[in-house]
Amino acid sequence: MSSELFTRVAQLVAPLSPELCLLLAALCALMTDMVGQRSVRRIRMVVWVASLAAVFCSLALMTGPLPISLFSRQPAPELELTPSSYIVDSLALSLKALIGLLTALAVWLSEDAFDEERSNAGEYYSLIAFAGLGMTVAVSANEFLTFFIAFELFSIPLYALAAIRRYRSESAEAGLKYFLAGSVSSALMLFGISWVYGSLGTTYFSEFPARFTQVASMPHALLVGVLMILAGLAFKMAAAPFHMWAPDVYEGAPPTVVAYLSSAPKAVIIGFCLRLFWADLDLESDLLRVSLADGWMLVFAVLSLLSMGLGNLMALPQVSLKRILAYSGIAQIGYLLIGVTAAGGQTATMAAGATLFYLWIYCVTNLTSWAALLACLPSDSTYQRGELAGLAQRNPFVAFVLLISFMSLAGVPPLAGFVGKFYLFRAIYAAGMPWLVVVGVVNSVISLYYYFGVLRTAYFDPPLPDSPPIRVKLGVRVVLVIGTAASLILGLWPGFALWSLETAQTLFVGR
Amino acid sequence: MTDAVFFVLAGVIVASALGMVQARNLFHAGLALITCFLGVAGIYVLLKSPFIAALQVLIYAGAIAVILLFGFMLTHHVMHTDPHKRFTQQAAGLGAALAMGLVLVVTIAVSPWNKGAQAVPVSDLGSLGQQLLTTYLLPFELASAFLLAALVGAIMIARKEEGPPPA
Repeated sequence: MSSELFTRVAQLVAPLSPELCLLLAALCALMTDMVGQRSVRRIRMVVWVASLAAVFCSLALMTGPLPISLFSRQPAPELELTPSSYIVDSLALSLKALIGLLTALAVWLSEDAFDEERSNAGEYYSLIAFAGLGMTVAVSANEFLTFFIAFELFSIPLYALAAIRRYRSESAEAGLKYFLAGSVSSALMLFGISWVYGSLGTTYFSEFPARFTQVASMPHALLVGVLMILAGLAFKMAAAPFHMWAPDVYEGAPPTVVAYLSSAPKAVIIGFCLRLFWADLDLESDLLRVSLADGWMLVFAVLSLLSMGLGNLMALPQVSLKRILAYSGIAQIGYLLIGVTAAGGQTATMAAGATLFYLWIYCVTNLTSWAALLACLPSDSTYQRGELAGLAQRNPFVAFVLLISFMSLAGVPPLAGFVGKFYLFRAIYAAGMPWLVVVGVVNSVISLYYYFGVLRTAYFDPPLPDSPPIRVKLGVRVVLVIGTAASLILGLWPGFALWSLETAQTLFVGR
Repeated sequence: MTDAVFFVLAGVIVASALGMVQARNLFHAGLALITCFLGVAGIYVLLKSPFIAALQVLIYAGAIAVILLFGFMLTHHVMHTDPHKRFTQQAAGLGAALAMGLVLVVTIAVSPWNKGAQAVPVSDLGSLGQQLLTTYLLPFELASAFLLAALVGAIMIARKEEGPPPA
């Protein structure tokens, strides 16, 4: 009897183990902060151990039978299939592993970052874990209500984190701006969801195709609703023309927070776009594919074009390192959207695999670039480019990390970023949009200018006379080593890169 | 009859929403907001969901709005702020709002809406509760984590300044 109960509990708990790890981490961080002597070290350890446990659980689940559907509903009388609101498939698990890794990296990065506000450490780490929890749920959501709650669950902690240095006006301003822009995007998305529900009568993604075949032509309300949802998503991932908030927020918020909020949410949104728009990557069965076939590809292509163009052009005149990275992030979202566009074409599996591959590379490299800046600039720095002068002489290791990360972001061979972009461009070419390849390559060339501008300051300018010595903390050093190793290995060892890409592609076969 | 009630309610909602956005005095804006919430509750009654209407009155018009007004009254200096609005900004905002409204209204008018196979049962509380604890268990439980996270974040921001150590 008890063993039967145990089996039933295990069947429910096992697929949710990555989420439960992060939930426990968030609660433990709060409890640890409350009882005994507040040890920031202990709180931090709880959260990074739990994040790595989430990575481990996700990878372990990937070896088992997939997909697992949870929280199923009685099927509607006219439809055969049983819709479920939560799906644990290989796409979701690979993104959960990425999110867990980014959470752990962000925690390591934050070592001693909160010395000056020790009283906030418990809240800081628990909010990071809560955000991680929301993201791991969001990538598995197979229904709009679940997705929206998860979306808010990772958004709200990030608003608070952006404002964590509230006694500094720029951090408070960043928090407020992020909150206002984010609330508008959430409201827009929720409104769009209600329109989709009004048109199709369901919020379950798996019911969309069947419902859609019952409607004679594309209802305009559905079109407008999906566009509103897309606008909300574009806001969150800072894709042009919904990118206005990003540079201001990145500039004001604490850099440890920005390192996290500029990478992890993008992974969620890109994954969700793949799931919602090209659900099964199966030409026959998908709602939005059937309805507007090339239309959605064009919408994504335009978003991608604008993001790449605006991001790279606006990055050129910047002297603030934070703004350079913000605009570079907008441009990078453009490259990722190339992959999402291509995933709507004939070679969907290849494109989706390439997108996932580049997503991993971008998120880790972006976080590493922030870590490198954090390591070499003092905590009261204004992040002007000139402050990096002579970095190569002052600390060759950090300068080398910065060199590798920026060159990888720019897509210089033989680094990981080049391999990732190459596969993306190949995918969009195969999908029949060669003009986007041209745009992408031209943009990569433009981006070389500002990435190399920063590197030139770091390598060739003489150090300022009164530069303080650079001491890199252990946690930050770990992040730097992991990020650099990833960029180098994926770039210099083509066999491994090819294996990762093929693994990413097999994730999408027979989901 | 239903139509007439609907249009009266819609008028009240739109007018109070406009009043809220345009009010110079934050307290007046808060009062307009309550009126708007009550109008929405009326719509729910019209849609035969008295339970949702009751929740709307209790939570939105009651709890949230009262806390909002208390907040205004306790922080004196925000009571009579007169945000400096430029004409171009207002015109641009009005234009954008009208354009968006036009698109939405036209779309609503021309689209076939999915009215569902069977009529909605009148305020079936039992099945609502059951759905929340079975089909929608995950979002229901997630909402508790979400509220906790929001609470922690709000307290962290609003807590009395301990501030940075003296430089």
